[in-house]
Amino acid sequence: MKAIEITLSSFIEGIGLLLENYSVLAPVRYDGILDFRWIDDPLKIELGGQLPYKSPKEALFPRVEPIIRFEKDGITDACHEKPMIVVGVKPCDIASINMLDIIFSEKNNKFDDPFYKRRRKNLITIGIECTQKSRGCFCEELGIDRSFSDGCDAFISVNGDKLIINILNPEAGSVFSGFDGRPVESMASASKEDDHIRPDFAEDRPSTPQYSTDPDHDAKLDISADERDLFDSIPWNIYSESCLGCGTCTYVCPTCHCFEFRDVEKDGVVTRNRCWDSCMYPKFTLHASGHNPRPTQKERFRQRVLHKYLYLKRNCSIIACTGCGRCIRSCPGGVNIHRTVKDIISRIEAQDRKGAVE
Amino acid sequence: MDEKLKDNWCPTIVAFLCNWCSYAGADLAGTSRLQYPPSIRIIRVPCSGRINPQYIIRALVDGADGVLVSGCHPGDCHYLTGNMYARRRFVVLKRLLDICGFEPERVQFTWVSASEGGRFAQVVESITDTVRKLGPALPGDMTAVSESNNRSESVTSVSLTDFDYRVQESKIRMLSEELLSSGKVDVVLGFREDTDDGAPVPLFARTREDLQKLVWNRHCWRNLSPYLKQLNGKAAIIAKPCDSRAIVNLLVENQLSRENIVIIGVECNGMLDLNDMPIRGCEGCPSKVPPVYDHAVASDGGNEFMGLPSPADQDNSNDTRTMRSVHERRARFLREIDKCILCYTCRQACPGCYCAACFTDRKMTNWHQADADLGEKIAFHLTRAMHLAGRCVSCGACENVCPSGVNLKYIYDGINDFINDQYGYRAGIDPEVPPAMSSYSTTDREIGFLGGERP
Repeated sequence: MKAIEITLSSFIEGIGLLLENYSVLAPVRYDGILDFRWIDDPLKIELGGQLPYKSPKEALFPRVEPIIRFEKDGITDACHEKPMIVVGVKPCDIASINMLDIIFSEKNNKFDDPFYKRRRKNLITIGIECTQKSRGCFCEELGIDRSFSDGCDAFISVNGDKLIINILNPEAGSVFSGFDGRPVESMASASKEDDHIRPDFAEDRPSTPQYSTDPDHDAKLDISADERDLFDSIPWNIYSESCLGCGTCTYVCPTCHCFEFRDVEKDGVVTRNRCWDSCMYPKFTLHASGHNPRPTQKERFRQRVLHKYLYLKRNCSIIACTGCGRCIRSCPGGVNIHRTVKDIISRIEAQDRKGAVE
Repeated sequence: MDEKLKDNWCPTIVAFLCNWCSYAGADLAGTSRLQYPPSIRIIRVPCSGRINPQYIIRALVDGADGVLVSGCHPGDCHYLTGNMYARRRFVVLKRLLDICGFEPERVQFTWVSASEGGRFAQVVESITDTVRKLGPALPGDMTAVSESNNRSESVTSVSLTDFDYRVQESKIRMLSEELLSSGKVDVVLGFREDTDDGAPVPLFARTREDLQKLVWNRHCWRNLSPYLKQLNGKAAIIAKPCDSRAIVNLLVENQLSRENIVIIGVECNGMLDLNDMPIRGCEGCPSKVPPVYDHAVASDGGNEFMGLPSPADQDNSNDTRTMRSVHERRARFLREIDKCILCYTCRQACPGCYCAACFTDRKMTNWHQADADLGEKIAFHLTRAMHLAGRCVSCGACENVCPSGVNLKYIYDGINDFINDQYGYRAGIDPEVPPAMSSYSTTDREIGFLGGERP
């Protein structure tokens, strides 16, 4: 495996050269808030700080994605085709991209998402090691290695004042040809090279989740119970009581992926957009008849927790939470999914013990 | 736009005319063979009071270059008072457009009676001329986003000392225990420590054991008042001045009943975030003391708030916010909403936004299209600002919770100050005073109306 040692300034310079052919999504500070934004000035990139406010899923699954356009002369494809690079993705966010790959792919889920697939093919991911924890993050408990991840096309390790770019996907490696660095021995061990999986959508994918890079780190946050039991035995309203139903958690979440389609008409052209939906909204799963199977915030909150921790484990063998803590930091009501899941697990254990005694 | 084009260009102006006077006036202009420019598209409405400011905003966002609204002369309304309410709304809308940097001249209001065919022709002539000079609405410089940081760094608020907070906390705890154990309330709404070292989170204490978790410190910035609506039975709330103002506003609007709430009013000098920096929304807070309370917790633990100005006396008007040029104001507004991702968190956290179904959620009339382009953001934020005009209590919850750091409180504050100047009303001070935007006076000024006063 190839690796390049490079100074930060040459790296930034190199990214600047790529701007000509690629759209670059990178962490930049805007009015004091570090966030992933499409950049036009590479000097603004901030690597290695805390976790950006929102997740990099914007590149693959944007807030609003035009799918097709209807015009008088016919229907045109509105999908995004420009090659993209996302820079400065921390291991938790790399894991989230790998999870979205699984969720949106036919192989592990039942459906193959053509819009996601097209964007994914055009995306090069450049990861970076996590040197600074953010408040409320708990990725270790979900088996994420903060120092290395091979789920991306290239991974940057920080070595003193130098960066080492480990090129994990030789095809994507060509983007670094213009970078002013010197080749070095890769930080990643050679043994990993054989079994590493390129995050190419078309590639075969193992059934086990790819993000558990370290076998010692087994997921500790694991709800193992039948959902029908959990519906009634867990007092969901005590968790959802301080939830305002704003949906920020789902907007900043790197793995939330519910969406709806909406048609927008402007100047005689109708665009069909795929937009984010959120299980926190009252209109989520509202039927045309007026019936809603999740009428109150309690049921909607239950949906959010169990979707991440139970349903996707059953359907795609992943726990769709990376422990990035974004929802915890951004929640206006102070709802904490980490604490909630821990509490649920301890309640299940207590019930099991009680059941065993009886 | 180059000069030659400008001369030939005919703007598109949407005209909302009341059925009883102005529409008949337009008819008369037609039957009298009066000439006026072909720029207007007339929409007949029952009354000028029927016109939701959202229609006007939507028209501008969707491509109209100007909007004309005309109704019966005040005193002549077919429905007696419809145009009286409309008058306040239109004056405030013009001010809002001005604060946000959109030329208020694009939106014109006037009164035309059924017999004034000639006046109608003049009005159309005049607005067409005005809008032609301004050029097309929302032109290319929409994206002229300034790079300067808009936030003023001079935050003067100094938090209370640790000792003050401990004194207040013990007082709050004492009061809460008394209220709970005597059965006067079923639940105490306060704060508890966050297990992940975050800012304290809402506590719903229903038993004495729950009360053990109660905390009060300099990070208790979250606004608890939105939770009151979802609680059944009698509730006591630990209310900072902002919470208390929000409760007053909810009482004024009949969303809560006073006998079900016990307000434990707490003196507050502004809250800090976890890095001990002042919370964004606390900037420009109008008062340190709750306007309405049942029990007082002063900074020294006393039962009365001493030596502090009462909120009604405080002068919060800060005209420097609107002193800049129209381009600077627009750049500031656009820069802020550029960050917006239309997640509506501001709406959910706002104690004034309690509609069962927000206009953005009503899909039958798709007022709000799911397209996060700039126009949609403008439509959302302007409409929300109009909905909150004279109702916003400056609690800053919208800024505190925004995941993208959109700071639009200056708009609400600007409108609040304007309404205070014009109608002598400030939301969240006195539960007995009717709200400014749902009342009227026959002597209301017609600032910026066609043929009315200049701003």
